[in-house]
Amino acid sequence: MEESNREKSQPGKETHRRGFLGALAGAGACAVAGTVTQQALNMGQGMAATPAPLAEPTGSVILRMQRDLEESLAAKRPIDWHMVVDTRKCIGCDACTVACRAENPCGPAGQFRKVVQLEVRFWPQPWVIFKPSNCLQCDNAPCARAVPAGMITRRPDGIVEFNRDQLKGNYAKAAADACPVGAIHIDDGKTFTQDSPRPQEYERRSFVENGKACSRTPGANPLAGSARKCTFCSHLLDTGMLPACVTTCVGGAMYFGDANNPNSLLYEITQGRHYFEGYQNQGLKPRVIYFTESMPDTREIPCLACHESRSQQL
Amino acid sequence: MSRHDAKNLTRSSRSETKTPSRREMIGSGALLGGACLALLQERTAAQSGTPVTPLPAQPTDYIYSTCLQCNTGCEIKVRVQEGLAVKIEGNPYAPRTMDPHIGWNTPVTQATRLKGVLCPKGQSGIQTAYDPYRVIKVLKRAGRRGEGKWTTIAFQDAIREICEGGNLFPQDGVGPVTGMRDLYALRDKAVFASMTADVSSIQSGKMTVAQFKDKYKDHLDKMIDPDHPDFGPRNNQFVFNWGRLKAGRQDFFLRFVKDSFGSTNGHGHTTVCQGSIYFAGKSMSDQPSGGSWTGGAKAYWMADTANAEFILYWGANILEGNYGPPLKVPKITRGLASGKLRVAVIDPRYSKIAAKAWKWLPIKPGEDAACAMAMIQWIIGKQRFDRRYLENCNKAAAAADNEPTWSNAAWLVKIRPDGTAGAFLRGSEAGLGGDADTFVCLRANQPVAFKSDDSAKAVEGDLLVDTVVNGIMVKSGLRLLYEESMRKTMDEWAEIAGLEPGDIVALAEEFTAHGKKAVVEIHRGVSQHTNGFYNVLATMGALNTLIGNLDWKGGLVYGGGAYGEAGGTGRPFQLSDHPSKITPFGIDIIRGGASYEKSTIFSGYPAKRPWYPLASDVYQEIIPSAGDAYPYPIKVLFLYMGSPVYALPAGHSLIPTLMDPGKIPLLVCSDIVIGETSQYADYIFPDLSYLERWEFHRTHPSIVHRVSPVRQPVIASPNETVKVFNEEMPVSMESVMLAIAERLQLPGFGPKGFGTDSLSRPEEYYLRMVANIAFGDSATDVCPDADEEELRILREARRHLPKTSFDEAKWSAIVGDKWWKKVVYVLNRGGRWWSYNDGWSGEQVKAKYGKLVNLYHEKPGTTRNSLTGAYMKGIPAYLPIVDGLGKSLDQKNAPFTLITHRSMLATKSRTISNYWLTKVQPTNYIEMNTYDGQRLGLKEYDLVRLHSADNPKGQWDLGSGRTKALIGRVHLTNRIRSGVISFELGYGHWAYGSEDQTIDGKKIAGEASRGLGLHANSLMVVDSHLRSPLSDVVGGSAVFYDTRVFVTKL
Repeated sequence: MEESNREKSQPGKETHRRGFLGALAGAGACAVAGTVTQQALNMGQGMAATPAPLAEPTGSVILRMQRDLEESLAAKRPIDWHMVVDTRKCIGCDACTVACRAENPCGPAGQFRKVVQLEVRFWPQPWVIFKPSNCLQCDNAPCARAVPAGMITRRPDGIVEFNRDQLKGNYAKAAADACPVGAIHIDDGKTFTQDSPRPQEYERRSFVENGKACSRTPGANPLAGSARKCTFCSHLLDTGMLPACVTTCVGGAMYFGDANNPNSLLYEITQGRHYFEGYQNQGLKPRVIYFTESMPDTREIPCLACHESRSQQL
Repeated sequence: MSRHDAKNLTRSSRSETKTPSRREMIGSGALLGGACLALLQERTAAQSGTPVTPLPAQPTDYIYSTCLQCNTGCEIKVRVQEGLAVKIEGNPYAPRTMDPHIGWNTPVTQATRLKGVLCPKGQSGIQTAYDPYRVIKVLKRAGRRGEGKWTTIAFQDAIREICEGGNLFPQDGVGPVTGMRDLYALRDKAVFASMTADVSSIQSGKMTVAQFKDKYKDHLDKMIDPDHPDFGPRNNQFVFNWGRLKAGRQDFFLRFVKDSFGSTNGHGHTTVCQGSIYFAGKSMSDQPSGGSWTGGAKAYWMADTANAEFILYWGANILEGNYGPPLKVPKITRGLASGKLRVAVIDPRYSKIAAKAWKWLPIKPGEDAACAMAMIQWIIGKQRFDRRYLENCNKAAAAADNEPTWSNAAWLVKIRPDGTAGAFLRGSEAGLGGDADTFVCLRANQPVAFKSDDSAKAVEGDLLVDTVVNGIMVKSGLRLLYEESMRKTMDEWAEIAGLEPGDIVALAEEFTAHGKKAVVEIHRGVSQHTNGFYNVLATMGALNTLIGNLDWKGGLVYGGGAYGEAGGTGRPFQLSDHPSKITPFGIDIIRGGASYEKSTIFSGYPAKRPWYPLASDVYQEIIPSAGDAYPYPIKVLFLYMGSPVYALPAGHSLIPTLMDPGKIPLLVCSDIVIGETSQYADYIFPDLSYLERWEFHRTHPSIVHRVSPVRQPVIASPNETVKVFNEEMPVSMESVMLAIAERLQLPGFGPKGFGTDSLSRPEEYYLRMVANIAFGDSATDVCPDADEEELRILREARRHLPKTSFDEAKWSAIVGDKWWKKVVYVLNRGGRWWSYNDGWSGEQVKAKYGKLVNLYHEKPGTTRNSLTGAYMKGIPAYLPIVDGLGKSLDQKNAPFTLITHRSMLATKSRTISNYWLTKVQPTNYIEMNTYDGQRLGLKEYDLVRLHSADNPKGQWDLGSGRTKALIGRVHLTNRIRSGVISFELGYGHWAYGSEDQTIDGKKIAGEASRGLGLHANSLMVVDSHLRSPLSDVVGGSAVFYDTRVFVTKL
């Protein structure tokens, strides 16, 4: 159902998407997740080689991406939003985690993203990698397959949307359980200060999510029991602003843009890069991809580091 | 969806935004203009097909201000919705939060959709302001100090009680309390001036105490102790101590404390942060003047992060704390990813920057100078220093080499008979003439006299001199440094530091392989030891000076400074204007900048408590000095935005004094909550949160641009409204001072506070400062006027603020028509900054230090330690860890050294109210090396108790029978040196909303989640002689990292 929904909403989609991936594949770079063994990890593969540095964007990356965004919105062509995470530049500060929960009001029950931190034990020096994690906006979304048709749909630009009024109870749980990255949580409608001496109004502010108004108004709380997840901040995108996690990223690790726009920074930086595509063995076709090269002087980032870490999330 | 929601989400009519001109946008492409916006809305509607369409952001949705969740002071833009702050972003106009930042002249309508970066704490600041545990009315204690019982009291009643004193706390049974009026003893500024001169005469032996008493026989009742005129007047028994305080508010407060009330005791908290860096920096920047050394700034240097090729981060947790992640991290990650930057890290703990580093050297805590000495030995031995730079003895020589700075590496220092170095050789002593500021170097075997700031006659000197001039044994500065570094072999230094000699050599080699684009950047890990001052001189000082990287692009920089908000030449307002300004005198309560030997209480060594001739703002010395009544007892202590009990190492040692009304008869706190220290107060005055008030955060060394961020009201304050000088305002620290000034009729406040102009409310001070920023640096630098659209934006963005926080008519009248539109221009952007490219000029930074930097330090070299009586060292050196009396610490062979660290998710005492942060990280852990854990039979997250020689029970003793056990969970990790354990600061609270309080007989239940984790400062060493926190008695640092502890599995 999800597949047909996509085709119906945007028949030309696949062509454009292939164009973007083609650029990556043409450079002969595609690391496949789940193929690095624990043994390889322990042997410290890549320790000797210092990878040749790739060109880093200069100038203000935020300004460039903002311009790209506006150009895509103004252009008369389909949009294909993608997020690229350069884990080398992630410092594990969780600025994105907090920006996200402030932008998309999340209560104590959960959040849309987190930063996985993994200690890789290369003797005698430890090594730690950081990997932000959120909904991958999969073309082939396991959550959508786990619930009846119509509850989870996809916008023409690729963003996977939850129908909040329907996706409750067991359906919410089924969707959450189906997600391999744990990106879905079930909101309980509560606020942090509701039981405190002075409950705070800001926690009940109104906001827009998936095109619908929301708030945590006591007594009529539409969020209680609903499944929620990252929307790529579609309410911001639609008004010409970048997602909150992208603009706040202290390390400059987060990129966002339209893969159909060959002039965009997103397009430019993905040329010739090694990257991770999460859970490729499950054929998710995610819209969030990760760069894999290491910093000069450090080791190659192994796939399994993050995959193993799912059970060790902080 | 309620109608309320609909109204707020779909505002039907918006005024048109101005179409942006691309040309005006500096360094950018273009942002959306009006035409594009229309397209966009069309598109959104078509896509979503729902009745609720998110509205595009408007410039009036934001107020730009300045963060204070830590001391970085990032520029922020706060989104206001339905009258509430809902989201905090980085400000794209500012170098701290956008790299590179957009031009200051970019219209605000074009910046609406742009956001800079911001750390998680900065974004969570909403929860500091909207904390359910905010104190919003004045509280007076109902029980004993620290008992947790309070009554609310009318503001003016509290002011009356504090001013007039009396039997305010009958339950204490100590009788009447001295009020502020009684302490406002000496009032005549002419008498102040005359006494100041005469006390100086007493200190220099030109006047006796008896003569003084005779001369001022009519004023002796106003003195603390007529037999010790150098204590000053009783006004000094009012002590004002601040924690986090920045410009603007600091000027206002000190105007009250010093200029109007006449107390010398206004003290900060510098030494708990990095005092020994500041005061080592002050010594490095002191300049010769009339035979002594003056003018050094309490400041230090950092790396030009954006342009360095190699940075050695030493005890500097650059990706988690420091000044500050939004400013530095983007430059570091970009540099590393592009391969242009290489970093190395020296830190016992594998911090996040270590995860990105070429090398991590897990040094033994406190042995930093051993590593520095090894590097110095190698660099000088291999002649890898910048000879051309170091040979320059004065300004003219430096200028000839296009060097902005010069050092005293070649200046000759006199050697005492015992072999120690003392004062510089003067020209007159060498038979070369000149005055007390004429120094001597050796060139071609001949002594050459010169003056440091001579810009005409260039003088260069030999660097490794050991000779006799005119019968006087002398050595050059660099020679002395080399000899210090040769006291041990490379292997011995490495052994002390716990490092591999090969690693140290590799560091030294790398550091000297990038010309001037290499830099050593240090922070607290280096300075918060008993040997902190000398660690700093050896690392930040000597190593950087050896490669001559000061003021160079990619080297060591001093920062671009801030616009002079307090006034100055040409600026429209002089905030120092005062109808009767007092200059206080007398030894201050911490004996900062004072000479023990010249005082009237000199009685040999050791002094009862240390004197700090080279330091000030010695935080850990204030309350213990009050406890010991040394040099004199105090009567009233105000604490502002600081929590010494929580923040200081061994902060528990202050509690008995804080609880004793005999030692601190009146304790008044300004706080936004009942905190770990304010819980002991007699009165708590609610303060404004940083989102409700004014301040000028200025800058830090690593910001090469001139920057003046403005902190201004963003949201309405929840505090009660009070009336002072007939003006209504939310209760705040300013309102307390204004009210006391009104009651005691202090000059400098009220309708004629500035002489002619009024100073009756905070805006009358702070808006004039904004106007000074608008003026800039010169008449050609004056900022443009805000246009009508910008005036509308200012007004509409503040439509939710009450008149007590924003009153356009009042505000514009304060600065007048000429300046109002310029003030609006600054406020609409949240400050003023140099444009990005103005940070550098060619291969150097534009804002330069540009003076002599001291390698050898004459002032410490000729000053005695007040406890040991020995001369301090003048040359950077390795010193072992000792107590105040110079003895090694008895730590009962405890197996672990305890250190602390920070993550980006907490700021010490004041972010536990931030649910968004504690959601990410609810508690802290005791980080322990996996090997050590295995040895102790510990598994991950096992519960352990920590205890130490000074705290064998392993607990906080909070008074009134309350204790909190030092129990925490271990996190076993390879990310820390074996033998060292660390805990993150910010957790383990026992106040700040974590425990119950009773107000007006009603129990306010605390949140147990705020007490999670462990705050182990009470394990830290209490100096056995001083019974107060262990200190670096030279640089003033409170010592965090020299305690050994036991770990017991539970």
